[in-house]
Amino acid sequence: MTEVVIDVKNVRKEFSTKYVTVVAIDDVSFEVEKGEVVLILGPSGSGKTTLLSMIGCIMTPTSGEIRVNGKKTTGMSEQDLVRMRREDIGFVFQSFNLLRDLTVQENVEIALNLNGIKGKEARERARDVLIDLGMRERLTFLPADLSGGEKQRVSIARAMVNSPKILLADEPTGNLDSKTGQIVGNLLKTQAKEHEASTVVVTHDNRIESIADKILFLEDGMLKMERRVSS
Amino acid sequence: MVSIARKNLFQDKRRFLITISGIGASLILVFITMGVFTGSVDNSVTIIDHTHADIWVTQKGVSDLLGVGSVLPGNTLQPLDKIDGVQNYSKLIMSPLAIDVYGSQLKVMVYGYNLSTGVGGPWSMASGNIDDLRQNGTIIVDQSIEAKFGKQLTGDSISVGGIPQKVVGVSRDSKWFTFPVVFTSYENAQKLFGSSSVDPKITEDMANYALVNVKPNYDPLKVSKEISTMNGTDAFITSKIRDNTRHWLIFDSGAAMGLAIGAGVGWVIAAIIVTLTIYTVTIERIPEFGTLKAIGASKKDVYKILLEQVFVSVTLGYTIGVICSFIAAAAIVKSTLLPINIGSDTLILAFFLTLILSILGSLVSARKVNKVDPAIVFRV
Repeated sequence: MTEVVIDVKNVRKEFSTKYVTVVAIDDVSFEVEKGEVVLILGPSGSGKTTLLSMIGCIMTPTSGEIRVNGKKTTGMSEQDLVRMRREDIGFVFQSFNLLRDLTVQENVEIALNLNGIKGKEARERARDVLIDLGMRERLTFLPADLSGGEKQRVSIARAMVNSPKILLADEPTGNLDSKTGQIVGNLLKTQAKEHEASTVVVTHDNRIESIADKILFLEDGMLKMERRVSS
Repeated sequence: MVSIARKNLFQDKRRFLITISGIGASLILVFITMGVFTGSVDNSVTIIDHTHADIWVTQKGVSDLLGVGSVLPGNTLQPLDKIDGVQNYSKLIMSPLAIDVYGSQLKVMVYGYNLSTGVGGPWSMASGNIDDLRQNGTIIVDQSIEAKFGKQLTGDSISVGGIPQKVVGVSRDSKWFTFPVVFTSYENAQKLFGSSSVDPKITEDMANYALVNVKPNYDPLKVSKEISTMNGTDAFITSKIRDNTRHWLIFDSGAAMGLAIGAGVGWVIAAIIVTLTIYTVTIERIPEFGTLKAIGASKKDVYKILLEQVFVSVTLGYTIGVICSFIAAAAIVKSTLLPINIGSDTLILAFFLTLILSILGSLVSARKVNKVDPAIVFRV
């Protein structure tokens, strides 16, 4: 029997101002199994990133329920949500979001430090992950001195260094050319499979469809299509 | 652990240098004002600390050495011999006078004391012999006078209140406020004061204070109470007049308030500089703090970064401040004879007060970071 790691049930998210309420996500349900790579496709403004934020414990749904790694995240305290993000989830962002004054290795090390792993152990683990991702020659570089593809590799290393059960990527190829985008997409898949991390990739880049086990299509906040990709 | 705080601070080295220089400069103001204050207080009671008297007798209504001048006519002190417990007493007269050293003038405090008891005389000699003061027209000068003029004065003749006096020795650490002290015999001091008309009330047999030693096994406090019953006098045990003198300078003179305001302003400026720097560094890195929060940094982690920034800034600024203050103090003391005593208590207090004020200032940044929505990471 397969293990469901992410379970999204009837999730709705509204954003309200004084005058208007916008429904960003409307009654969305789906599951992600252990080690499965799920691609969420959809046009801009379809609610992909909002959905990813809720799975990643950064936003909370207005209604519905999300279970991550068996734990119901809706209604969790802020402290527990922070712990979930730190221990169970790895994030990859479109703009890489590396800390500009830290070296490549330090950018990865910091994720370990936040998790209580410090000193030599942190340095060695960060180094190993980066070497695994082909960054051996760039360990002491600052982010400003890296190409877009290299930055995204560092971002993936930072996301994976704590061996999270869940990997969430928001438009990971959005700032990359097609060839680099393909490489980064494949790296995500390789990492997901090696670490058995359930992976959700939000994108409107359908060139990386090949990395997916399952594809969801989101439009106007609603799930329009769910398709399993045969390997 | 990777220090984000230090990376943040050192990224813009010029700004960081300006920050720690600003903190250092503010603390120089703090240290010098506090040092002048402490030095003045210490100097004001130096004579009390070193006279070896048990009781100070003053004019009625005078309870310290600074607030109101004390004049004791000779006949006022005559009943002292009859007070039970009084072993001996020595008259002390003191007054500021100008000295002339090879054409350069300087104001000094002249102490005239009883050579036979030695009470009120020099307590530490750098050179010369105290007994030489028995010769007519002789004085012992403080070492700071030699330092001020850059000359060795023993054996030289200098003018005190217009009268030539021979320097027979040099004493150490004898100052009264900013004035270096010149010691001479009681009798010689009377001549000097009379000649300068500094205090025309001082005539033969008069004194400013009488310094009493009590017989063994007598309680100085009880004896002092007995002396206080004498006509026209008050009497205080040494520790009491010391406390009274310090109290007057600290609380009654107004000088303390001025110095406290100076030190306070310095502290506030230092804290504002740290606050502004931490705030600027924080604002510049709001997206980075958002990223840290998104990948699992807790509020505690964020506070740690901010506190480390404060600690590093204050520690380096403080170090610069301390070093520069000691250099400045040495230069000021040499050129002005202003007493500056930067004690370890001042140094410790300054560090922690600056740190606490700066930490309070950094709460502004902490509030800003706490409000950062980690969802900021998804905004391109």
